[in-house]
Amino acid sequence: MRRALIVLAALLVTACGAQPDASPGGARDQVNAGVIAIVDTAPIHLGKAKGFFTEQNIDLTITSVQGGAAAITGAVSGQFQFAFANTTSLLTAKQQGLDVKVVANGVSSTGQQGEDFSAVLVKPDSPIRTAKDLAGKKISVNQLKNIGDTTVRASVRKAGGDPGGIEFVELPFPDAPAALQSGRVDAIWVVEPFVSQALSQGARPVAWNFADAAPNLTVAMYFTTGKTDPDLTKRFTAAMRKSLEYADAHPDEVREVLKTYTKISPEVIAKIYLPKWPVEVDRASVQTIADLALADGVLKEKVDVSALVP
Amino acid sequence: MRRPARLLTLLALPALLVLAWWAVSGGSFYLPSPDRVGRAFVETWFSERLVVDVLPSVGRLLAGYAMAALLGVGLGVPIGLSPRLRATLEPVLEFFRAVPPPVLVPLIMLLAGIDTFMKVLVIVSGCVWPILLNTVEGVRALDEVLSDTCRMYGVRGPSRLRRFVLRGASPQIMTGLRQALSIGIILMVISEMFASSSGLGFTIVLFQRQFQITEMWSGILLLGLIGLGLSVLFRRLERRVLSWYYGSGAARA
Amino acid sequence: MLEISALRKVYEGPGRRVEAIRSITFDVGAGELVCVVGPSGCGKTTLLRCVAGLLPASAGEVRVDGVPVTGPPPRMAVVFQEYGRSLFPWMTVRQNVELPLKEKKVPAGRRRELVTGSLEAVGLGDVSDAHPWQLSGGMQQRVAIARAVAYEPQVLLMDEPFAAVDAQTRADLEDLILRLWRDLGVTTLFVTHDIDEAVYLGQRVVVLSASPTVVMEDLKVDLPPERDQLTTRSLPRFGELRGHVYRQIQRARDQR
Repeated sequence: MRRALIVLAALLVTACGAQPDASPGGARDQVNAGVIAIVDTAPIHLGKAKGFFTEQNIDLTITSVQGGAAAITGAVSGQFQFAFANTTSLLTAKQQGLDVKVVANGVSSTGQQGEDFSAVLVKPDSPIRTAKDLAGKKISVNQLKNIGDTTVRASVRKAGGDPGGIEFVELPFPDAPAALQSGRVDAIWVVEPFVSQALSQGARPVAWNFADAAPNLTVAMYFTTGKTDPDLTKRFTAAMRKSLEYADAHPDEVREVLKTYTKISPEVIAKIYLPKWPVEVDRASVQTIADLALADGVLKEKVDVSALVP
Repeated sequence: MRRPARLLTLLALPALLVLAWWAVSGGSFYLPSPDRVGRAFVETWFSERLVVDVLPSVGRLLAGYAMAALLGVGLGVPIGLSPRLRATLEPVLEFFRAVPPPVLVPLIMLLAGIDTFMKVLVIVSGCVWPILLNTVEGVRALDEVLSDTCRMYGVRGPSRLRRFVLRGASPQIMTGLRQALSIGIILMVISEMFASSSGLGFTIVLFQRQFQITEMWSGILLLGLIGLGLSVLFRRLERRVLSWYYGSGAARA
Repeated sequence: MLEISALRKVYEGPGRRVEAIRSITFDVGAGELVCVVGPSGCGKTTLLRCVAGLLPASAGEVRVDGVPVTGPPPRMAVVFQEYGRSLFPWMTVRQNVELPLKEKKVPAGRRRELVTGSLEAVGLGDVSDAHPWQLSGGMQQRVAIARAVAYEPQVLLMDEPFAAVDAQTRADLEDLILRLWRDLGVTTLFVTHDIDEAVYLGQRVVVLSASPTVVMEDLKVDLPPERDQLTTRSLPRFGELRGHVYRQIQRARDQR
């Protein structure tokens, strides 16, 4: 509890101090980062609370965004110097000619079936038993033509099924468990905390799609645009790497910081599956996603991953 | 000789705007030049998208609008005719009309699912208000002398409804219908922003999310053209229904 | 034909109680033309509305051909003062005149006869396809009169019908009414504030008191039945009658 209060106090103090800093010891860079307020982004919140960014002379403000598209738009328009978006969104942006560059890993799949932060779930009495049975069904994802449907198709293929006939429906994560219960969809793809929520309502997981798509799938990354000062980028990257490392090694502190920037209740926080936060981007997995997206028609042509990821 | 001159004045301002657009664009990623948008327009919409996305969307719009019209006029007439009903319902109606439809969408989704019915319901939920409230107003403001005349000459019941109430309130009702049309187009797009997988609005938003900005602009252009087309059709209808109103100069007064 | 017995009308409002009419009693025989005059605010219009069945009386009774009036009686026509507002603006002149006949389920052929006939009678035969707003005030009132005439009513009520037209038009319309009345023999009750008009038109003039209203006098107009704007109005008897009515109304005003 004390830890939570300290973290809360630290976050409040840093949040209040958004004006230009006239402190001695050199000018600090004002950095605005566009980040979705979900489990995935715990490291940057934790790192800010721990002072990793201040160490690098960065005065970090974390701005909440609705999704990867908003983050990318904000970065391109100059509102954010750094932001967080999923792999598919970044690949799509790159293909459309937007000048985005990955600076650090964001969040990765645990790679373990049954213990990942993302899953495809069905009703307890559903005839769907494995990912193969998902063929031809109605599955909800939070955004069409994005990482959700790409990886779900991969799961179905891996189980020996044909993903061609699946009807993907767009539904925000919070609305998905209710839609599953009322039978409006046959299966839902959600990430934590909605995975745990659905499980507690009796839903049954049939696929762990992030784990299926690639070993150690890099789900999302922190990025910037070509306009950002290279030195600032270097320092931000260093702070980010330290944050990721710390978060990966201290799951309890991660669960504490979740209480400060998300609205997930403490009981649920205690139960959810946390993702992994490796320091390095798994380039092979990004290429896999790019290839899968190309096959699914999400990307129009092959993307050179090395142009995106350093 | 008048026709070409009229056409010229009609097209002058749009042409000017397109030229201004040409001058300003080209620099930003988010503002492509008119010729690129034009090309994207032809490529994107003159394809199967017309049948799969555009027509169903417009169909839903028209269905929702028609339902809202029936509901709005059907309820507006009895409410307008009864002072007691008006007094009781007015605050409640004003309350519901003040709630923006996008806020109601999750609620409507719970009630009506996520398919066509839900989308039509969203459109109805927003369009019905201007129609209903304008109908109430139009019926309320019917001329008393004319009403007495009807009573004297035995114009009662369905005849009175048709010949006096609806005709008399028609200027106000048409105002409501006109307002509802623009609201309907907006709601058509909004209804497709939640839990959708096809539709004109959905496709525009998808383009935006996929950073296909030129295609997105072409979609916006199409939306504008559809709105324009519907508005022109409506004005034609209005002129026929309200020819007596315009002639009498009451509209000017 | 028309019997008004002890008619009383009290308006009940929040905190106010206005006795508009205390007691009015008079008759109109079949085919008679009776005018009603009185000081301003004496409830002439209230009286007419009660007779027309548009307003329920507080006490007393109105009978048309022996039948008590509880709502607008079936064979009664009214010509209102506000002619512009009593015509349907979205209908042509012909359609306006025809509407009551349609409601009465008169067959199409007979309808056409009546409409054409009444429009001719009021001198509007050539504007039957115009809309009311295309006509002058006097012409609009003629349309209203034509509509009433085509209806073939038992009783015709007129509520200050010429108050809102100019003097010239008024004279023409007064003569029109006389002519129609003579030709059709309709029982007519004519309410007006214009004393000269009342004496000129009526076979009898009922003079009302100020509010709370009663009948002050039921005067027989013993002028020759052939009325003419110039000659009749210059008759000495005309002057006496109008003077008498004028004095009555003065008295009524002073009594208040």
